[in-house]
Amino acid sequence: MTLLFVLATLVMVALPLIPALAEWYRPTDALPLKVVRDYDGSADHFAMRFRQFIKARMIEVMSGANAEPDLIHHGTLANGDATILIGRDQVLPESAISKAQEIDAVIAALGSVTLPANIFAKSEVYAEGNIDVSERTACRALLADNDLTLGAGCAVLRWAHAGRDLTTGPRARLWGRLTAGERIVLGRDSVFTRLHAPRIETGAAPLNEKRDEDIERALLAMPDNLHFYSSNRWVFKKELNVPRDTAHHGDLIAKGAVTVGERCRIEGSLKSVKQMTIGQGSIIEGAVIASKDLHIESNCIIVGPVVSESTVTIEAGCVIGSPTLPTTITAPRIRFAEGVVMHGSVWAREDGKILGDAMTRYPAATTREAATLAPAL
Amino acid sequence: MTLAQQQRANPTGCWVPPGPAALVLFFLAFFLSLFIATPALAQIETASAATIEVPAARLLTGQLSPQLRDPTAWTKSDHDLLAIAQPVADSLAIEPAEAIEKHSALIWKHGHIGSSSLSIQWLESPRAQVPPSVMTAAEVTLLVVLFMIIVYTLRHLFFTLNRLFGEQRHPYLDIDTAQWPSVTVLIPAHNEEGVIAHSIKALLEVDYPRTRLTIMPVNDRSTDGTRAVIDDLALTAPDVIAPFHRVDGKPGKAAALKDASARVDTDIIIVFDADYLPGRGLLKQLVAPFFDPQTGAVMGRVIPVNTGRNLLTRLLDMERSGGYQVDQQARMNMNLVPQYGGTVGGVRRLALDDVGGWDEEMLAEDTDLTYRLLLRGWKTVYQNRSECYEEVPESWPVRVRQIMRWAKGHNQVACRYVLPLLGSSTVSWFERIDGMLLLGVYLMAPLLLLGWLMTVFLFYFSNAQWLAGALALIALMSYAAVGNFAAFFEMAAAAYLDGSNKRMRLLPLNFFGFLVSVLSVSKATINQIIFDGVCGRSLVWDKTDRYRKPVMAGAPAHPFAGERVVK
Repeated sequence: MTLLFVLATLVMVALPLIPALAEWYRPTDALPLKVVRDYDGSADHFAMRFRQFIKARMIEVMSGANAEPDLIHHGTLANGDATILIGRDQVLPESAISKAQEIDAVIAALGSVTLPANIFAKSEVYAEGNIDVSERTACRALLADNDLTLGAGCAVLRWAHAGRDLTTGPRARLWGRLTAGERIVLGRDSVFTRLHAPRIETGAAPLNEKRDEDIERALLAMPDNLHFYSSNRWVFKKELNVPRDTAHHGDLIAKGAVTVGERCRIEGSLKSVKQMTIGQGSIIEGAVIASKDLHIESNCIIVGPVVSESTVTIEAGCVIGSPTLPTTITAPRIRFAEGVVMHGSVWAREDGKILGDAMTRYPAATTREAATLAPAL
Repeated sequence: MTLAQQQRANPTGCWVPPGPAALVLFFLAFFLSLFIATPALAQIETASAATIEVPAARLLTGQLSPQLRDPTAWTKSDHDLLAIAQPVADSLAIEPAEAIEKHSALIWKHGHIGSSSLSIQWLESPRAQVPPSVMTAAEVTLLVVLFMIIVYTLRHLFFTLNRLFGEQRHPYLDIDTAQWPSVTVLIPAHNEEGVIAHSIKALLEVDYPRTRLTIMPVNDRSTDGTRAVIDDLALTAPDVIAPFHRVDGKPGKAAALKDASARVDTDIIIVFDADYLPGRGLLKQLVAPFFDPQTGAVMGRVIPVNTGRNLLTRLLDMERSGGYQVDQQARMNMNLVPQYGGTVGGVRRLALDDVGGWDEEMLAEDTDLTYRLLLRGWKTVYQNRSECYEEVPESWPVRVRQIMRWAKGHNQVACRYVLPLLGSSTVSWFERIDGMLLLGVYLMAPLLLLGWLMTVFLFYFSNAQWLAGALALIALMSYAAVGNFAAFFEMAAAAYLDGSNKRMRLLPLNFFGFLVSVLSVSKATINQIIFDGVCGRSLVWDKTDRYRKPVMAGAPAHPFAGERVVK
């Protein structure tokens, strides 16, 4: 009986060890976890890699015996994907578009190329010149060395990059990464996820009216509800209300909601572990970080990164970053009015939207003013 | 092997078996205990069956049925029970019913042995010689241990569920464009000639504005070729590399960091150990959280690079994954107290000055800094996707030495900050509770050992009813993970989240790793209390062994590239 008990116990103990001992003896999953050491996080990472790839392919084709820069060449990549190399002054051949209104080949153009309306480009499209995408066309990925223009209702599924300007019409659906060497202009009612360019505009161009910089501002008085304070860091126990026309030098951190009144100037960063509202015409020379919703009223200038763990809403006339001090706006949800200017990156992890007239009420600040402000840190 | 080599291999002095030997020994010990326990169990069965029909459980637990108080309602088995209890009751001058209620274990023993040896059994009974206060103390101790086990189990369970199903916080990860602050990367190095060149070369390739970056290898009294390696590399990039050769002063990483920080004038200080291999985008990821003015320190995730070397490295790989992928990220998600780990992380210079700089008296300068920052209103941010390779110990003696050092350092911090943390009005209650539990993780090992001892003691000497459930719980815990199975489902969840499900099969073997850890940590803690605390012996910092070969000219920055996995 005792022997049976011991044997039964042995079996019970050994059972879970069998796969473990097998894995130990013959490893099937013993490599270090993968760390992508060469990825630097650049928004145009995929576009640059594709350019490298397609340029090499084009050189290969053009160095062939029958290469003619003014003709159209059909070919196949190593993975079996079809390619169409369009010569200078040529247009996309109609044969490239199937009856289902799809283009199933990688397009590379030595000049510019225009994609017709209402089609689906299932593979990448590259042009050494411009790319014009007509209305309601959906594309997997687009790379133009010069300008890239998307018509109304177009969609980008993976990424798009323009060497100079990237412009979208209204109601564009931009699900991947949009990057440009100089400027991105987004049409109203468009949706996006990730943008990067030296200058990003939403909707109609901002009015760029001159801001009155000479207003008198009172210094923020030290309140009673401070946890900690030093010359450049005040930590508030609960909420923080900065009265209108107030100036402060240093970082402000609140464990409650933060409300900054109109025309304030904070020479430092702002942090709230709850909601934050920045009044119209205010200038924040550092970062703005909110754990919940962040609302930036019209005509504000924010120099440093703008971060929210919920929704960021930015009204018309605001300038985020500057040409010399580009920055990042990041949040799960981002809502822009028309007439906002940003410099740098915008990353909406869930979705970003350009809203219509409802938010366009105020003139824009000048980017020149933002450029003169001090660094965020 | 010379004596010096032996001491270097195992400076703790305790005998540590190699991996397979530990496995065999553990099995032997396990089955030996089974063989010892089995006859005792069999004896219980025999006793309950052969003596009388009175329920054995009632005798064992001292449970007194209601009718036993009423003689008119006695059954035959009750008569038998009381007859057995009578001699004991007589010797104690109490009623038989009271004897059953209070001294059932003795009565059972007597009843089984027979009344002829009553007086001898009674006098020799160990239970009779245990003062009630000792019994009470043992029961309270076991209750405390059980409570702590349940608390830590729930904590790990919450963390795992949060990681699997909760909302994940990575608020700063997407900051890729900004006016980047000035940064100094400190690389503390004591006799690191074999690995430090890899780290410096990798740092020279990072995507960070060159004008805002300083790499400062901190050569801490090295006696090997570390100085020459650093100086050679400094010549190749004099605008970025600013070596600091420390030739005297207090030994230890904290002291080296303190001296080096005095030479730093940048906004941010990032620290990498000499064997770490940062990727191109890592520095920006680690600096990005500092745009939040509340952030005092940042911690990234370390990933073992020598995973496939042997069983130990594979077990440590799983342990690290559980700790970072689940534990640290869950604390980040829940706004608790992520821990600054001293490497693949950094601290804001302003915050460091605000809390008084590095404390060279602390063995765990990283944990110490975490708590000082917390108490001064700074947050520590964990960036799970900021990953960096590291080496883990490849031999058990090195592992034992490492975890003993960690335990001593952590306990040192716990002693210092338990009361300030509890009394702090600036730290939220959730943070205080999590902070307390984090401080207590290394105290759980000796507590578990104590719990097992109490279990065995009370099994033989106590008749308290609640022990039946407690013993079952302890038994379950003992089987699951030497006292705390919580870490096991954290490791399994981490393997799942990392997409490396097959390595989960090794999970049962972590039993042995935990056993070694529990014993090592307990030994370190007891040493710390007796020798360091009572005798005033100073704590000594020692570095973990490296396994990489010295870098050769033209070698790749990633020294493990293309390496085959060996068993």
